Amino acid sequence: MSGRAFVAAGAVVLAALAGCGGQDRQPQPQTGAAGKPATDAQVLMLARVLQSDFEHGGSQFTAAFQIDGQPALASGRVDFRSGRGNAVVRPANPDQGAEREFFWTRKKVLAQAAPGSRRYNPEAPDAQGNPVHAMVKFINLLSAETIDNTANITAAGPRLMGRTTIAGAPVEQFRYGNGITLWIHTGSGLLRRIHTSRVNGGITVDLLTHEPVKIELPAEARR
Amino acid sequence: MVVAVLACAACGSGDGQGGRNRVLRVPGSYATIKAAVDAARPGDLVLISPGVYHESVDVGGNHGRIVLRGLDRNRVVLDGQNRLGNGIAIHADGVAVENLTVRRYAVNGVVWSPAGAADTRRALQGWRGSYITAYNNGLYGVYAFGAQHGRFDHVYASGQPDSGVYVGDCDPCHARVVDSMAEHNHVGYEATNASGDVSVTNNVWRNNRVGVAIDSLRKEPGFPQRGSELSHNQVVDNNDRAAPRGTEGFGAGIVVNGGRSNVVADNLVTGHSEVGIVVLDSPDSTATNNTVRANRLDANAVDLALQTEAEKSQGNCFAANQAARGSVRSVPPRLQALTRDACGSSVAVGGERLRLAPAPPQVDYKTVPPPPAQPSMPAAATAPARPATGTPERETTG
Repeated sequence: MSGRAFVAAGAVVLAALAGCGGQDRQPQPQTGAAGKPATDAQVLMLARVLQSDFEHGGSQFTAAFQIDGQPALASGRVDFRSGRGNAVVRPANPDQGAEREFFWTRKKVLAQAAPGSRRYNPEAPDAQGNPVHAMVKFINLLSAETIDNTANITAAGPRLMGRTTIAGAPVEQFRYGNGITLWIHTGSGLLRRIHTSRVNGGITVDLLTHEPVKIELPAEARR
Repeated sequence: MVVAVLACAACGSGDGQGGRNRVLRVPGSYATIKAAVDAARPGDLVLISPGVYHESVDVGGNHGRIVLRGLDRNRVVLDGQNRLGNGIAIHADGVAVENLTVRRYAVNGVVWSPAGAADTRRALQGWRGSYITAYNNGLYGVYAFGAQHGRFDHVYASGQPDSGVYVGDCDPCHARVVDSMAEHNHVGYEATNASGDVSVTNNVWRNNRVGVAIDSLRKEPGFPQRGSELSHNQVVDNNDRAAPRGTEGFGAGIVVNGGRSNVVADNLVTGHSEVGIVVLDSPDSTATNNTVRANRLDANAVDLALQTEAEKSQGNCFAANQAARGSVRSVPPRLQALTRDACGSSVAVGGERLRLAPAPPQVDYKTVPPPPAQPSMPAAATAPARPATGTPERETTG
């Protein structure tokens, strides 16, 4: 039984992200790292970023990750409030296979039985062994009901790596511990992109929108 | 004359104490608390008059061994307006905060923590929070993190969506939490990775979603947790559907979540819809060698529970706990009979699991009603400054 059934251990959300690849440990500060230490105001912005995702409701997203060492792409939608999501996953190289659709809740993943099929097979969560499930878990961690713990974030030594643009929009790039890089929209403080090297060789998620999302699950989800 | 006035303002005292152990008055001599703190030297008292202060006060490393005190606990109010980060953030040794209210900050009401990244810092030495009221803050009410030798006393905390009172990341902590109360929070008192000489006694944790949580979590510094004592507390009715939530958890009195060698003794634990006292494994750590003894139990759906791996007690023992009515209800059954003589050794207890009801929906912490007035510290206007130096955890309570 997970202790989470009893206690509010949620206010270390970025730490959970940094550890979600398996070694769930406190992210270690980078020594001799590039960039500048985040200011108190920037730490506060980092503390708010996942809460902002939750408050906005959901996102359309894309994700770049690996399946069996080969690059794969996902595009879909996630409802952060309900924990439901839907994505089409395709190998970056079409020769590697056809696209498949997935749905998920906080408790299960539904995989399209075959490309083009209307049937979906429920799968027990397996974030350690299944790269699609690992991607799903990572996306579901991108929101939080409460603000994050600024003391813990500070302890992990976040650094401002620079300023750039994504699709023409200005963002600030932060490195958190030794596992997470975040690109946060300048001004709004919303998460635009996040990358971790600690999930199956690396995963990058772009949040394209921040808006309410409603996911209609296939019938198999009710079984 | 003008020059003399300016000189007096610059010295910051105006109290004729010759620059030693000065009293820096807000707003009499300094317009803001932050300005007074920036002028303070070790031994000084920042004395704050009644008023509502919309500021975030940062006490940096150059301003250690000072005291921030309100003249009236209920009328000296730091108000973050749900916009500012922390009410008072202390990164210096030996700072005491007394007799004031902090409310509506986006993160914490009052927090003691070392500055900088974990690999470049040392534990903060000496901290104390006395007669503080903290309510409707976005994370914790009062919080000591990475700090040793300190105490919370006469704290009141309500309306936090995480913990009202929190001690974390210290080993050995040399920490005391006494004579305090938390209600209408997700968790009343929480300690994550707080190890060694932590004593939590004579407090009231009531009407939260969870009364007490002692956690051992790898994702925070200081893992694993061990060695705290929780005794002579009243842990009552922690099933408050009107309390905000952080994540999960509801209806539990005392939760030892993966901790080791903790003692839970002589508490009153009553009125919990799920479980009175539970020792269980955290996602990262097997709970081992915890002692639960001589607690008084009443009106809990389950009084005692042990939820560890391999259907073994893992050195945890439950002894001499008494139900006010009938027999102690436990999961697995007969927990006391099986473990009372097995402290430190592992015996088979069975694998029955608690069945938990879903947690009630979220409540916006900003809407939790403000608390009633709380007792002020005695002689706030005249008591000498008492920075949190030496061993504040050994001081007697006022």
